[in-house]
Amino acid sequence: MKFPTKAEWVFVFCLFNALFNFALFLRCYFPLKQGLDGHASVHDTPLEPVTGREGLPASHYRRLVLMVIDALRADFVVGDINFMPYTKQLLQERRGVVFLARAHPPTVTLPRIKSITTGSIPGFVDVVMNFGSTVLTEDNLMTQLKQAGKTLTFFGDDTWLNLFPDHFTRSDGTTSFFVTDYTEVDNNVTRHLSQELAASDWDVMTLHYLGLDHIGHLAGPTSPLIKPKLQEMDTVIQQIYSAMQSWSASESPGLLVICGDHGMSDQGGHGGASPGEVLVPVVLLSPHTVFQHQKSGYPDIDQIDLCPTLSALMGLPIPKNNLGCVEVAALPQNTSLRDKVRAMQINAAQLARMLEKNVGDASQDHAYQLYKAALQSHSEWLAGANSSSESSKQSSGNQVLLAYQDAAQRMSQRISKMSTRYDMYGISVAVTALWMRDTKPLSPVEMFLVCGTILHTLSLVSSSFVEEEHQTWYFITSSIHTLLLFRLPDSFAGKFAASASGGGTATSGHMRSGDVLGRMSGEREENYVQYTQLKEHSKHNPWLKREMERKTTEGRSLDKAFLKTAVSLVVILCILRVLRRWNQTGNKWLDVPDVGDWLVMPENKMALSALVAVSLLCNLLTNLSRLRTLGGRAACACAMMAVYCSKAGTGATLMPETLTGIVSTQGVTEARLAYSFILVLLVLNLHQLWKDNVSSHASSQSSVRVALSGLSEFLEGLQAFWLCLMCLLLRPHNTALVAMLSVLERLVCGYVLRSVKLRPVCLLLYCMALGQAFFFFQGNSNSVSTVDVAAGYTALQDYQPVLIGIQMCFSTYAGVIFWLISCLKYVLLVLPSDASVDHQWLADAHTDMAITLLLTRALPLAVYTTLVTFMRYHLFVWTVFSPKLLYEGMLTVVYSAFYVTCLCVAHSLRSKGQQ
Amino acid sequence: MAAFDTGKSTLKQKIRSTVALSLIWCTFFGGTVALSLVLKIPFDLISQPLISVKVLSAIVVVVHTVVSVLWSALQFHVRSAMKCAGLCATCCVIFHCFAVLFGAPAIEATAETFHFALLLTALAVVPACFVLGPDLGRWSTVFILGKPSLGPETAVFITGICTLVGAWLGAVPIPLDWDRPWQVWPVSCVLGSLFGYCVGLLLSAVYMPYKYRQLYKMKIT
Repeated sequence: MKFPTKAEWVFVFCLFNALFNFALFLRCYFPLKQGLDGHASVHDTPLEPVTGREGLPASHYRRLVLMVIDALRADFVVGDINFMPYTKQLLQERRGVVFLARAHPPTVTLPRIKSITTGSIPGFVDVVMNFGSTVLTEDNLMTQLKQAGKTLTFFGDDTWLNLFPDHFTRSDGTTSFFVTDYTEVDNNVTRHLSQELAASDWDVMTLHYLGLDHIGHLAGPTSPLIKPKLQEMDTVIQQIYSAMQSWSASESPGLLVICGDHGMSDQGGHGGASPGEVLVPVVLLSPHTVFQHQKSGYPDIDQIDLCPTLSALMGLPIPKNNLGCVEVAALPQNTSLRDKVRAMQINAAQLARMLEKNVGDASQDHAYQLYKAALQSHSEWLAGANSSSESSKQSSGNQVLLAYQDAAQRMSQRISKMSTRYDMYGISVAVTALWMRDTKPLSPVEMFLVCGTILHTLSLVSSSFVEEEHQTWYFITSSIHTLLLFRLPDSFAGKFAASASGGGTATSGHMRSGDVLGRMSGEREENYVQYTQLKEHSKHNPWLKREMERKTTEGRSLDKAFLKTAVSLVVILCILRVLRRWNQTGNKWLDVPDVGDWLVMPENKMALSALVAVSLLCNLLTNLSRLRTLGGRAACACAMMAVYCSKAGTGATLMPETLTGIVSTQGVTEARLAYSFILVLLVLNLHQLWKDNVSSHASSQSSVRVALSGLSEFLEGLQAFWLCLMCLLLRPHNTALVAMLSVLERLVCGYVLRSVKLRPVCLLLYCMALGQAFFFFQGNSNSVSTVDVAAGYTALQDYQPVLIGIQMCFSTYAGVIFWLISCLKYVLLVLPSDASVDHQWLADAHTDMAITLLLTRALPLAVYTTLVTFMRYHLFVWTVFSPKLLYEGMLTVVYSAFYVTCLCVAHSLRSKGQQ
Repeated sequence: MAAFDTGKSTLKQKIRSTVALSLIWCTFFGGTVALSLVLKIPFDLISQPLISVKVLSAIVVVVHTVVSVLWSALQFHVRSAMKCAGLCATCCVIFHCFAVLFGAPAIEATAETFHFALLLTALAVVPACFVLGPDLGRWSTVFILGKPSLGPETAVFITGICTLVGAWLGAVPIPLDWDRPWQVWPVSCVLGSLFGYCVGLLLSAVYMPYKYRQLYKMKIT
């Protein structure tokens, strides 16, 4: 049969239906806000009531230095420990003010930069787009500065250069590339400073320091590396500030703004909404103005307020899509009340325009009415300016100011609520369609695996079970293996019975083993009768005697196999237990120290190096048994060596003194070398498969089994290939995880699945459970902050979005993919020995697996999308539910690839069987 | 040591007395647990799990010994008693190991884990010791092949399995972020095994007459 059968078409249709519906759901779920096009200009600003004054209040500063320090937590500046003595001293002298800004999650750099410059709240999709930042077309602060004729320069994270490609006259971008490097990135920024500060041809200089964020990712906020880094930043601030002191106060008053784009969680990552990640300090420093006196404590602002505040300070129109409010406390002390009110009026007018765009009937809106009322009192105040006394004028002016602030804040809230409005219609269609997917009845499967899968699906209903999903999988995998261990005597009893019934006999040695291992006593008696009878016969019959001897040895080997299987199950349980503590993940016990944390500490570098070396060796040894050809083994060995060198190159591990010379910086060359060896491994493997295929075609009939064993060897080779790739991509301390994975797989394949025959569908569920467990063992979680970005840049020297995306996907789902490959192999393993039509059986097995896979994916997706729809206004929607949704989507893509593979294999087997 | 084998009662009587004993014992034991949960007397199961586990285990062991002695003249053999004690100790260690393998703290909360193992031994293994004796063959027939004879063996089998399943299910609520005192290791698992034990007693009291009737009917027709 050349064309796929009807049923196969149905399967393919199901898959696309599922994918399409899920994509539709995601598209509807992650809202796109209604923005205003174009750029604000001075002519757009509303007239001042009564006086009819046009334009903006005069600017307070001519020159601006915006210094963004990536991952600057609030407590690094205002905390108890004095990390930045110079800055603190300036603040005490009232040369500046501090605000605590609340960043909106997702706390990732790109959305945060967009927030600071546009004043809008980017959606969740921007997290995904973070890795492929494109030109910012929305109205923003940088464009406004450029329109105002300022000269801009930039040094630091090149995300800015991608966002604002034509804005800067001079720039030098550094890539957030090697997370392990936290000195060079910052030196690349600081080295421009002395020259730039001496020059007077620029008006706005933006600096973006990445080092602190890298330290956070590497070692967390309590690391000893933090203090020297913050002191370095303090020195930079001092350098800039002293240069600013020499500027003329009347001609070019300058402002220095220091802020973090996002904070740092207590584990060092970011992306979520914990206080450490969300709260960032904003420090305004200027030698030319006196700031308003700050009352006790630090004023709380939103990070988006920074954009309109800076616009007001620099005398610019506020960007059109801004949702922030001007922070009046940031204006210099000598600002007249009239100017303050005017600034607020402009801000409120701009917000009102946004509201008009987003709300159908704005004039009915409460917030809008407040704005109108404030405008009214503003004109009354200005009209009565001459008549009333100075003090009453002052107080009524303050009331106008407050009215404006209130109106602005309410309008901002109203709009941000509007922009997270959901496309309910689209969502409901998608959810119904997901539920309606083809649900072919499942063949009877082992209870626990199915129950476990269903229980996991049900657990998704609870947000804390979603946060702690790893616990569910760890629990399920441990339980599966315990159950296997507990039921082992049972499954072996079946074998004993089979071996006994074959010759109709059971020997005494065999008996004893059965006794200890829990054979049925009743059966024992029956067998004993048979046995004594046969013994009588065998005295006279030499054939029977021989047969009995054969059975005896068989019994002994069964005994041994039983012991080995039991021991390997215990070892598997131990490995799973060790891996649990390898990378703590989730939320509740995230800060419990784990093995990984200990290993990445700088003082344990020696231990880490030794561990990596031993793990790679262990990996090599286990892979040797997977690879049959000499070439493959050699390639694997070379790959392992290259992997070690590349890890040494990134500075994660040590290298023997004499060899340090051959390691290039950043380990890119080594990583590429490792890649080439791994690819050689793959090619050799494919070649072998091809050769097997050709030979099996030559002698078609007898070699069905031969061909299948060839396929099995190919899959083992593929496993070895994938393990090598994992060694290369995963973090250094996770190479031990790969080694343990390799050993575990050997045990599962060599002993467990040989003695406990699971049906293919159960095999798939088993592999999926292990794959999920390993996904979390690697340190992944259902939060965005745990994605290993550094893995994406392996062996790359410049920014290549596609390659980075593929590598990140591979490293994140490495465990899942490995177990799916293994699943394909295990199906060949459980092939019944008496099956006359191997191909048909296997084809059916693969089809069954594909259906099961679709079902096990459809079920949680349907449940989860339904749940998320109901929970769309829940507090955790951005931190728990949405990231999980993205992970589920990605997992579905990975599984879909496997689904297609299964169907292809089934199809080819079927057509082969019919030849 | 096998207590019930020496009894002269017929199968029907044996089942009747087992059911009666199970129900009485379940009421008493369940009542004690409920009392300690609700009124925190005579001990507070949630805030003082260690002492509570000790007391409860002691109660279970003593009651089973007394019942075994009273119901049928317990033939006491030092050798088999020693064997049973060894069996219990081994099981206790195995339970501890498995608790750790399932994710209990390996180093820190050793006392808690051990008390949990102790409770499991008292609830699931000690009663079985009185019924099955030290013969491992019978143990495997009952527990691994799941073919207990009707009577005390069935009761022991069902309560044992229910205890273990209860302990297993007791681990489920631990990751929830409710921050309740009973979510602390090993309280939820202790509660789960106690609950499972009581359910097991009830279940065996229901199951045995049902099974007997089924068998009886089959014999008649």
